[in-house]
Amino acid sequence: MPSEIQNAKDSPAASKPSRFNIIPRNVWLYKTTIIKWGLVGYFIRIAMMPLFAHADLILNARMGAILYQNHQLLLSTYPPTVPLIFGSVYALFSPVLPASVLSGLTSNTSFLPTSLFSLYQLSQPDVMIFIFVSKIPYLVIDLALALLLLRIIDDEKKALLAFKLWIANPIAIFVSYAMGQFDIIPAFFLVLALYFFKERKELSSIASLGVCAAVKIFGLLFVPPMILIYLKEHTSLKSRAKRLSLMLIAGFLPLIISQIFAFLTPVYYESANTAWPYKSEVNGFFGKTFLSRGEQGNPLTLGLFHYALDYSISVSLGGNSETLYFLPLVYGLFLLGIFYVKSWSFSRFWKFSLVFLLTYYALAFFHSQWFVLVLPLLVLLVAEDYHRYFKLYLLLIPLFFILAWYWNDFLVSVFVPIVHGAYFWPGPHNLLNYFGLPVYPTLSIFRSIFSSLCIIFILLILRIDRLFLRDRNQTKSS
Amino acid sequence: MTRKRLNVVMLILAIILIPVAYLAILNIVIPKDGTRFLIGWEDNTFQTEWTLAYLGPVNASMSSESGVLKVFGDGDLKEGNLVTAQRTSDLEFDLNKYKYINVSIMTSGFDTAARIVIWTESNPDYAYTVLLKTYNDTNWHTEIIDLSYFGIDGSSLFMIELGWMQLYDGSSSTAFYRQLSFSSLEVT
Repeated sequence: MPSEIQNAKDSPAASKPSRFNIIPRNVWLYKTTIIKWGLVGYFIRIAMMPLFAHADLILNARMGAILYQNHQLLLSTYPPTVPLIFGSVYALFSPVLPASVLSGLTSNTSFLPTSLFSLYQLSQPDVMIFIFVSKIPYLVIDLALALLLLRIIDDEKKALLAFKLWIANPIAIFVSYAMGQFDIIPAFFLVLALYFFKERKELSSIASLGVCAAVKIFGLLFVPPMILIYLKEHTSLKSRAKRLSLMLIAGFLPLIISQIFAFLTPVYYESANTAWPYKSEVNGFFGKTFLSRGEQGNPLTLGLFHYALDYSISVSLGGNSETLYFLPLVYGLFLLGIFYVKSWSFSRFWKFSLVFLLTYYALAFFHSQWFVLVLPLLVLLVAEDYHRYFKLYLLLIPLFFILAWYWNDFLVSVFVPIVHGAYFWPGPHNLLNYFGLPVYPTLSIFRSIFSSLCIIFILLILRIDRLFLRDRNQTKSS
Repeated sequence: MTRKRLNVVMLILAIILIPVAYLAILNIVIPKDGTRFLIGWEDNTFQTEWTLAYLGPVNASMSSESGVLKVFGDGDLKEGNLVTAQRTSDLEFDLNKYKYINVSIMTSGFDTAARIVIWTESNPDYAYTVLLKTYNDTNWHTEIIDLSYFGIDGSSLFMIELGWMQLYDGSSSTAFYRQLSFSSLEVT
């Protein structure tokens, strides 16, 4: 490192970093290293983009393709912002989009079973161009997130370490460029909100969380805590009321706009096969009724309840169907913690958010792509205290990939664009069976270890950063 | 142009051009053949062996012309009324292999649900409804159904039913079927 600093100082440009430079001032001395790592990261991502895709990418891309081609909205459990993002990308790159893939995705006269849909679409000629284009927003957002990490940490060496950890993050790379999931987008807006929080830009941080929520509704959970923290800084009732109304507008505006957009866009008549034995795959219209996961109702609300409650640990409290759900319980504690602690520094807030997310991942149903939301915060943590957390972080990575084995097709079906027959390759379940190991109990052992690791992270953060303790001087003054 | 600026321009060009060249090469190198269905059994004429069955107070009829099977019913149609064409013989083939039903369907409107039932034995306990779907237009819709997801396998079928179910009260409904086949999937 010292030689790098010396070299950078020798260069004439080293003394002239502009305010709007991509590489921020605090790490300007390391610009050569940043550019090298950035380029390597860029080309690794570029190399992966056209080669791999999971069924989920095709299903998300289909929403965007229908919006772009048919000007119709395919109703789903995702907010309408998701098809809007994909649709905008397809509109932007329309000259290079392969017509065969596009027509296959948007046809309402050719139906395949869900089990075959991704295989068929990913075996189309020129599909690689299509999946490459679909991932372009991930690439932009991903690299922007890496650069944001440079700005969010003041210490130059720690900022550089965070940048490197993100660029070389195998989980983020796998989820975004092998699976093709879009969770990198809400993760970026969560970090952007933290950056604005650090800069004490109230409305910008709340608006960023609003955009995060407009892409993935989970982000909405961070809006009330941040509003509460900001409100603590205003003493008069009038000032609080004014700020609250502005923050509510900023926080909910992206969601409201996306809902207005959905309201104004004609609905695509997705025909649901109600005879299909797996209700979770019965999505679409039957007559005039829309079914989401086989149930009648608003898909967004049904999705929210399904993912937030059904995937959460729950305990029946007896009586008339009274249930204690884990996620609202932890969230309640999260909010109470915000009330309890008076002073909220940037560091305290992101660590508190990290503890909340890790508690969720430790004790609720594990969805691989959802873990991307916590990754930037974990990177911040490791960068801040490398010696304490790096080994734990390294342990977490292989455990993540083992947990991805819960879905037998996860690690093999992503190869379908290159080798179409990969769809029928034996998956990890077959491998475990081959060695005489019961699939789910074996994976559950690793799941438990993963949870224990998350809990160790939580305990260390709580112990070292004393998140729930009031500042001494504040306690005295109060 | 200074050397430094030239380097920046070269770098930007590389960032843009390398991915384009990479995609072009991949498009040439990676095999493009995808999936195709191999037919094990088919009925493109619907001329023989098909009989009519129905449930409910309905004037039902069926006909076949130019390879299209028409299943029709009118009267005071109520929700749940069924009209169906059944074929009960000459359906011997390996269902484990030819497990995909491929068929084109058209209905008279979204109040009429296209309905396909597979009977593996004469016992109604072995009748599997594999498709129940509505369309909001009067176009032909190609359907491919994987029977293995319904637990259907074996070396023969007892019966196949192609018909419709009334979804809302109405006066007449029709479902059309063509190009019925049981196929296997080949991935290259």
